[in-house]
Amino acid sequence: MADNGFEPKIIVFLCNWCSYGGGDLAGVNREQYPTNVLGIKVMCSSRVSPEHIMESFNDGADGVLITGCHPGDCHYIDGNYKTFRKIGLISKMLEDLGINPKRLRLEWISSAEGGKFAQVMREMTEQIRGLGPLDLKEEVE
Amino acid sequence: MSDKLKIGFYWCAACGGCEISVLDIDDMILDVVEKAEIVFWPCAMDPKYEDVEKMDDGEMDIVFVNGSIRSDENHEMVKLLRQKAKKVVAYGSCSSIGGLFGLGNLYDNDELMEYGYNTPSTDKDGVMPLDDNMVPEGDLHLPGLTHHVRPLDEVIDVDVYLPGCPPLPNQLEEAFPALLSGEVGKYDLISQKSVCDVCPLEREEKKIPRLYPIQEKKLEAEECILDQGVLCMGPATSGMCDGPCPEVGHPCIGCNGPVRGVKDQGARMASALGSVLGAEGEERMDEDEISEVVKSVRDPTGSFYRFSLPTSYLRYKRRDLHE
Repeated sequence: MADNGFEPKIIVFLCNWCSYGGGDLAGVNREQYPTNVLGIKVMCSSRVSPEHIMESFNDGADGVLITGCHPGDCHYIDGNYKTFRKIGLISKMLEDLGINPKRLRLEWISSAEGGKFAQVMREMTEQIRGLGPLDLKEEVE
Repeated sequence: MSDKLKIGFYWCAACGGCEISVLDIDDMILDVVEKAEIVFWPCAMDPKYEDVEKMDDGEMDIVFVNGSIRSDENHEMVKLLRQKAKKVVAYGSCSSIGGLFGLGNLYDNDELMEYGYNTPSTDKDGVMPLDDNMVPEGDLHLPGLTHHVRPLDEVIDVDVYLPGCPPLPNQLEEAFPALLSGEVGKYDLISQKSVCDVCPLEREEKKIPRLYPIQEKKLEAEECILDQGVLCMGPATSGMCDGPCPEVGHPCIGCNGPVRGVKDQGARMASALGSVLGAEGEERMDEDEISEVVKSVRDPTGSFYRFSLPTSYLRYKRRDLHE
């Protein structure tokens, strides 16, 4: 538990073919990682539209993590390259809108990397905990 | 006279283009005035705010409001108009989706005032406007700025949206009869087709290795502008304009806002662009090389949200970076 009781809420998009398998393996291997991450399975990381990311932040997520297959391993040939470019654009847009781009992270996790999966979840949780809550619901006037 | 519909026009934070566009329908304006009587139009007539206050609730049948909500005066006035009107139409992009002025949301009010009044210009530097001024004739009051630029529907209920910067004659020829007969749904006047769907230029399926500023690229007529490496907002923009800009070789700038049913135009554009950018043989590149193409997109926020920042998910600049 953090000192101030802040528990980050992190949305994790998991690609069906690699990262979800990685998560499965982490479970089978009894890897420990925080429960702050809320996983959403998608068929490919490039299925995650920038709109989903913006909406997650708007609806109360403190961080968003996109995971996909390693470059060259995409089940749909080049989906993860598309994701990579979209995340590049969105990071810049978040920064311009005054939101720390560190709240958005892209990781490649294969289905053989259960250890890496747990490690990334731990790192991401600690990073967001350090950044503090993202309170976008403040109503003005 | 009494069986005519009573209509009104009002402008908030706007450039005035919408007011003029009403007259772009040429002789069709005669059909409009045959069915309707204009009772309130500050741009063309000389009504006072008291005249509106004296009206009964719901006395006006349709009020067309253009411009975004930027000052306390806009805010107060549209609330009054909502009360006096049976139907409110958000006319033009500013009132429907926030409009060009919405880019002011990338800064806070202090930054905007500082830039406007305290950077080198023809004005006397450092003289800031006051909200209240005591002069011999009495106390003069200027309406204050709202916290951020808002579209109309953030302040009052809107019955029909009619985006466009300004709405074009072909849109109005469809919109006015529909509005006057009352048979039009809230989003009926926003197209479900994108500008790319209605664009006459030829698109090839190919990767775009980098984007160029428009002044650095000689564009070929008849060929897709985005294919040639110049940012065109066509994929993410609603196409009720029938694509007049790409037709004459100018990239779409996204003035109609997103297609019907989509909320965030900028995110949609990032999605579209992420898919079409890219070089051949990127499997052999490292991440830095792949990032180069993303870096060639100049000012993604300003370009993608040029007209729709106030209706995006994030709406205005937050303070997450400062603290």
